[in-house]
Amino acid sequence: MKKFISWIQKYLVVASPVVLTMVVWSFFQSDSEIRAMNVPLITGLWEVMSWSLILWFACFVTFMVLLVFRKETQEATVKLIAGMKERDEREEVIMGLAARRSFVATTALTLFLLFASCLTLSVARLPDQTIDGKKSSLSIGFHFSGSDTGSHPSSDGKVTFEHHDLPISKTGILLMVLVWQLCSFRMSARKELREA
Amino acid sequence: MTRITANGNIENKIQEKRISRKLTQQDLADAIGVTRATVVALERGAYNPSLELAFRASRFFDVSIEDLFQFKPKHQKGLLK
Repeated sequence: MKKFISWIQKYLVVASPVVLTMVVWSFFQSDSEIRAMNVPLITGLWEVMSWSLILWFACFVTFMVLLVFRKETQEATVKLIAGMKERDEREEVIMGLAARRSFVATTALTLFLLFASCLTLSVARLPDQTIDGKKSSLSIGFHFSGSDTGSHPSSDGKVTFEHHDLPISKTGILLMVLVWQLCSFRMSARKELREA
Repeated sequence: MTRITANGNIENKIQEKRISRKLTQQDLADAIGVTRATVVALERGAYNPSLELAFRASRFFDVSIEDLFQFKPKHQKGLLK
């Protein structure tokens, strides 16, 4: 089992350039375009890279499952992320403190993103009618939806400013949270190690 | 300075004992199974060791834990005398 996991980890690292190359290549040429070229060398290379990608993806999913359930994999990954070997109890304490800070920082960011995604803000001019002599309206509210239907509450009148949902894609948000968490953990660990 | 797990209530004589035995920090670290950085933190009072490490250090110096570590609470509130 250990050898299998070790092989998965090595393959994930070693095959990464191939996967990246394939991603970049696919930006310029689609699968059908490459096959239509009918050049055996290029088609063969594409085929090999495709199988590498499938294998890499299978390894990636397996590794993610291991990361969730296997303690040894979690420990090894944490050490790699923090850049620390946990050589003694003091370094274990530092890792714990860094993990706690990272958890709080990530929770704060996630809460902010949740708040910003629910917030609806709208400033509108009311063309024909006035309310108590005022011609503009400001509405603030919360809009929570379990699924992305794309519909949002709208204001009456000519909207001059409107905010609803986050102006970032789902992938962007996930990437931001991931980078934030990794950076906050690594920086906290480094800071504690330097100062303690 | 951040003091991990240390609140200044515990003082120790590790540096004193180490110097009296003419040991380097690395020698002590190797002997009690920690890194040199941990020995530095212990001597500065920036880190309170676990009970196990405290026992290892006291056995190494051949003294009791109380001889090596002194509990000197700065805040008496909530402590039984």
